[in-house]
Amino acid sequence: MRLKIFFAPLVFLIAGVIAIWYVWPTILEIQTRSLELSTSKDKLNSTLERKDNLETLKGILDRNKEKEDFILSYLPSARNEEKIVDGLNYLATDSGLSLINIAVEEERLPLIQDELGNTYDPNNTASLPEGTVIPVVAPQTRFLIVKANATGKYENVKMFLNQVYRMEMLNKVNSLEVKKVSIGGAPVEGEQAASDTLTATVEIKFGYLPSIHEEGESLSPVFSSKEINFSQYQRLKDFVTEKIPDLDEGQKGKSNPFLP
Amino acid sequence: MGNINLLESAQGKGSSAGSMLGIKSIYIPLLVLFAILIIWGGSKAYSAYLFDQKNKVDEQNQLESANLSGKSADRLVDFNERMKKASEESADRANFEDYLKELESIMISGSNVESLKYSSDKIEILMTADNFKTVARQILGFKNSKYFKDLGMEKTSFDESGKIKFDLIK
Repeated sequence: MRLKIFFAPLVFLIAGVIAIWYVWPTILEIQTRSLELSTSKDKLNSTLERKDNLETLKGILDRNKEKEDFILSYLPSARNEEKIVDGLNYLATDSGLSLINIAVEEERLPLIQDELGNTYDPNNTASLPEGTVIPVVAPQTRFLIVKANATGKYENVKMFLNQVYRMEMLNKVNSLEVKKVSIGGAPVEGEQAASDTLTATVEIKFGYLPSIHEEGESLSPVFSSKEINFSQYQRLKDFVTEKIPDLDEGQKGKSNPFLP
Repeated sequence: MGNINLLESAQGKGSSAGSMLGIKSIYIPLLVLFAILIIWGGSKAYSAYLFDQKNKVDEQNQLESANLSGKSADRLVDFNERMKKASEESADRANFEDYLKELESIMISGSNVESLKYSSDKIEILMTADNFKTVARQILGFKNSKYFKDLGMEKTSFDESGKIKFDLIK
């Protein structure tokens, strides 16, 4: 009889303990997992949508090949001294300046700092201790610093600067030095000075951007749309007016490379 | 007249109701316990199913993402990023012809530029003028200009032709 009296409360107690101790956490776990599943499904749907968009975007880019070529020419994927030298020579000649010399050097990259606060010099990786892992950073625009010297009249210098500004290659003029042509270090006086011949030294940074690759895990937002926004292209295109004729290698082949 | 045993009859009914209550008091708690155990087992199984489904969806997502990162994807991402960076880098460019135009507009008669050095952080202009009044006027002209307003004069000297040389530096 006593067992009967205690049986029901004991079973209810056990049921209550199981419910609180095991069932409730499992229900909470279900809620969490449902949410996780829902998030994963959303991600998958997004990936599938992007996969679908990729085909559409590829078609659009194929139909706008000239725009792609323009952007690649404006901001190339590698340093292109040959185009820079050819372009500056073309613009100098076109604006009536005589180009005297051109010097090219690579701009130094800024130091990289990792999460632990260690700094690395990406310009000198050879000097780093063996096994050092340099933090990976997304490709950044790099610059070639070009120093060009030219002589000509004031109007020619002005025209040259304007043409460089509107050149079909990303560039930024760093500095400009203009002075009267000097003989033996001293500025020319009198009649010769009045001839208005100047020497101009221009330091220009020409940009290039190493190729960018899509990472599977972090899909680019470009795939979330079925359209390519060409407005930035149009702004650049409207701005650039100086088209440099394409550079070819010319006639090749010589039996004695040391003869003129 | 026969006797009716009311006591016995009442006792019999009482024990039947008592046994029913006893049975209920055993089975109902057991039923509740059983139901809770079933819910627990079911929810565990459902939770495992959800986990399995999530893993399958993640695997499929990884597979599809890996398929996306091909040559076409690279080409599109590269074009998009290149266009963006080109536009950003172009935004803060300066046309140095504008500085020369500004210089033209502030020059006064009687003074002329011998040399000019212009960069974003430093400006040096070497000038000559006929007299000190012209020097002062020219400095005032620079101070009222857009690009050369921060220039300051350091010293003056005479050149061989008797003109006043002065330099303006920022």
